[in-house]
Amino acid sequence: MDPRGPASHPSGLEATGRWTRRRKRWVVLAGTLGGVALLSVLLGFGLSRDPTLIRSPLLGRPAPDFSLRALDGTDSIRLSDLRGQVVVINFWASWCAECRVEHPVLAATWDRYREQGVVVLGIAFQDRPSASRAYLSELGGGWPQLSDPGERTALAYGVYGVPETFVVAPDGRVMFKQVGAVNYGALTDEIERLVATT
Amino acid sequence: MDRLGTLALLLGLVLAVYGLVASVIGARRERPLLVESARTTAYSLLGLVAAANGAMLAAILAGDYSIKYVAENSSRATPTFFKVLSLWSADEGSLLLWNLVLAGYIASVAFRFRRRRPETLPWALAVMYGVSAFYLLLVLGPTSPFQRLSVAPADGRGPLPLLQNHPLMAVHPPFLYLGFIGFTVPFAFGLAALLSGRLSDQWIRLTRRWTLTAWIFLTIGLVLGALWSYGVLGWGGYWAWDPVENVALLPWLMATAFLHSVVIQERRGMLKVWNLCLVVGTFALTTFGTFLTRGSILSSVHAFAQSLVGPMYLGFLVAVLVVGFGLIAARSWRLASAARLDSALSRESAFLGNNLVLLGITFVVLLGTIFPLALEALTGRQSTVGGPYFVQTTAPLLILLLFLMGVGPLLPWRRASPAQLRRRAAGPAAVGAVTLAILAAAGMRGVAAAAALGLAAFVLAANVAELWRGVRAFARATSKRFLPAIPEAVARNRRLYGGLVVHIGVAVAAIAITVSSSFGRQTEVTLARGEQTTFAGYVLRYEGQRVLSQPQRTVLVADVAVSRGGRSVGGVTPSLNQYPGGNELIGTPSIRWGVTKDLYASVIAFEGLDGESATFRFFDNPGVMWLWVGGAIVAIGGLVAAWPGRRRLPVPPPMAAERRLAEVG
Amino acid sequence: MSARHGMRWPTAALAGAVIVAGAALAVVAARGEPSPRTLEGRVHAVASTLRCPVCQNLSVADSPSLLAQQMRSTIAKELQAGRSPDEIRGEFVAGYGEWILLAPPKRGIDLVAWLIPILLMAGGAAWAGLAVVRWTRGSVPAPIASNAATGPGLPPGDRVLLERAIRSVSDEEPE
Repeated sequence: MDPRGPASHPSGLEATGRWTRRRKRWVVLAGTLGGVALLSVLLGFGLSRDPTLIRSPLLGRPAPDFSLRALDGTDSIRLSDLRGQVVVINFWASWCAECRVEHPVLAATWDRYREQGVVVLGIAFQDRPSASRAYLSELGGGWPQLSDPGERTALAYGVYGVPETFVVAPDGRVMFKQVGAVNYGALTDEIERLVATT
Repeated sequence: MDRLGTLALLLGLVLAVYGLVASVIGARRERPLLVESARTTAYSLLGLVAAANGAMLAAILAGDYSIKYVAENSSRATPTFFKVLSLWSADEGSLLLWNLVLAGYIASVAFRFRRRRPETLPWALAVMYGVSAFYLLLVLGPTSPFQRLSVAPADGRGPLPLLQNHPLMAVHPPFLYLGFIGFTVPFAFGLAALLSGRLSDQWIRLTRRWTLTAWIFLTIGLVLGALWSYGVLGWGGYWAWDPVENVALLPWLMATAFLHSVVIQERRGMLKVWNLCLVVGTFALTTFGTFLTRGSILSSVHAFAQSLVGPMYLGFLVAVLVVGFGLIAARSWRLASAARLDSALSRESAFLGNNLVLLGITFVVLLGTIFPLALEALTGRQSTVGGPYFVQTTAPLLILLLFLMGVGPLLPWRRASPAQLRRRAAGPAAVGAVTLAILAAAGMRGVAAAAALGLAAFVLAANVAELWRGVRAFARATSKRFLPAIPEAVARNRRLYGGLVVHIGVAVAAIAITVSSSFGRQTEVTLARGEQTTFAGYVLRYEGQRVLSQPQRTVLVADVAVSRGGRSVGGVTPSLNQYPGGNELIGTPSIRWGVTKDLYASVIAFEGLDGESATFRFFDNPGVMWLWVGGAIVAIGGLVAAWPGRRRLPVPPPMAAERRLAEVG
Repeated sequence: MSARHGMRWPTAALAGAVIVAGAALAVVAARGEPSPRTLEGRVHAVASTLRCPVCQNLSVADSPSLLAQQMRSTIAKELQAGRSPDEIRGEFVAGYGEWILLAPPKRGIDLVAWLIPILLMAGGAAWAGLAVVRWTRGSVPAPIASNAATGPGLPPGDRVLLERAIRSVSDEEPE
């Protein structure tokens, strides 16, 4: 490192000491810079991701089964009875503004695919039944609406808030999850794909 | 207003860059006039940044909703008090305040050293101007607070409900900022020593009080944050190990280590590299904290989402680390000192242990805070590191720290004779042992908590005894009575007595934390109107719901009558607040503060018509009051240590004082 | 507290205090950690290891949010149905992912988070211990401060201090 090192010091011992000290200095410097580089890569990675986006472990896994009573109290629906069909599960609430936004998307999906055996299920989340019913009578929508006492089903699906939408394949696996208002194109693409494979 | 504000910031940036350049050139070419102009620039910079803050405040108060920040963080209905707070209730505005505090510190440094100028002053000014330029760039670029809306709304959205729910919001952030930013001063002087090559201990003596001041502010800020969490968030606790709390704790921990280890350098000329590392580390941690909370890396109550800010912060953080540690590494050979201790049984060793433990806690908290990030980067798995991890990993270290806090003050500098140590430790140890015996006899469970309480009693006794011993020795030496001797004795050695008082405060806080976390109880209950429940010796009856219409919100109050032993002792009134535009109801807890325990009530939900029934959470929180008392004692102790003396003894009298103490003790 | 009869009682008192403290801690340790007996306590124990999904930085036990409340009641029902805390945690992990656990599990790569602090503290303690040994070795056994005052020459440590004090006068911070 220091070309003049040994020559300029008559005492070899001293020269060695100086040389190791120098080397130590470089090691320290390199270690420091390496650590900083590692930290900045890590933090840079942190910047590149959205901390609010939490992936669902359910994707590709069997959808948790449920048997829920309809909101109007008539009959109940069991998910496992719908095996062989594409099922869209939508968690919503009357107090949720985004749910109003996505309601027409769900209605259009229901109208377009019900003939092909696609089922849309609405599950009310943290909502008073009376409020839910008022919301539905205001906005319409003929697909089955279920009530979920104690939010047991929502918890099993890992719901953070409403709206959240899941698409279950005919084999009963969760293939799609959307947090927030669902996009018509994305939803129908997924349904088309699943319908085509059956 | 917005033009005025932006102009002021722009001019401020120009001045900061000028100050930076002028002080560097002035120092290198030895042009005193240039340095002087750089120094006085600090006042103009403060004036300009203050003007920008004033412009924003005026816009908020006048309700100029054409400015995006005002429209998003204030509204007509917001009470004036909370309008003022809107200045720092969101990212852009809080950065304005940040700049103001930073400019204030620079101006204070410029004023403080107006007559006697240390040789490193120009370099220190350059560093501070550099930091200031970065933060000014931040408010001028990606987080411009004066951005205009193309169409001005008729009314603003108002501050975040959570942030306008409590007046504590008025003091918590400013104190935190005063603490965080205050560490810029010791960092600047440390870096100045490295940059100028004048590596004497001067920078430590110059910045001792600045560091201490920043530390006091940060302490107060942390305690106020805990108080805010306790009094506002309604979950019954005060510390959630939230990443944002953690990153505020980190610089505090490292600064505490620094405050101790600089004493060793002052006394023994050791640990020079170590202290420089600590001061750079502390400043880097403050930057890291702001980066994490503002750089949209975390999701948290506090996080201000802002996309462009992140890379800038990251660049700044990397620059701080590279320049700081790089300079230390480059100069380390000149900083080498002959390390020498007289004995392993000395206060020096206790301080070394203190540094080790404090840095250990710092590291563990840092590790836990960034571990999820590292795991996701490596494996793609998302995970959480929260309270249980931090409690389990830091508890042993905190217990060790308590032990050192008791032992350290009992040990004299340089060398303790075992007999002397035994004599001093016997009393405090007996107090700790009796405390433990009482706890064991009372049937307590939980070894860690019992050990913490026993040690806290030991720390209290040891530090009180040392206080008493010191004052008594002084009183005897000057033939005074005990009480009148206190102020003079304290004035003779503020650092010693301030430190002892701080330790007493920490011990009180440690007791409060241990007691509240091990003996606290809680219950969750749904009560119909008129129904009552018994909890922790209280009878709680839900009387009904009251609706208060306030301009900015609607408050649903649950009236709960509280009685104890058949006698009514008043009531608690937890509430839910409905803010316009928010779906969620924000709860406000209601607390019956008490010396031994608090009754803490929050309401989760009302059911039925007009609050026919309500679901409550009641907490029986013992000892929490003493956390605030302990925090106040710590702050007072810090003030005692930092208070400027009227005259300074030319030679610090460590040896003489120790000897006198040793003779009488 | 004079030094003459001081040699005996402090030693005895200190030893007694250490023994009493040790015994008391042993008694407390023998009782075991506090274990919740009531259902509410057991729910709290499970809930405090889970992260509340909507508030994100509070535990399910602490969160005042409605969803957390429902999670607590789910936990209560499962506990009553005889499920173990680990099974219940597993169910939440199935829905929400490992993200919902407030502390990383002590296995696999997550073990790193638990091991690093231990290794680091052990290393730090060893380093500090070695440093103290190295720094104290060869130091002149200076007399105890109390009787050094009258000594003719300054011990080396004091000389360093004196020199530093003299130096400090010249660049003392002005008051």
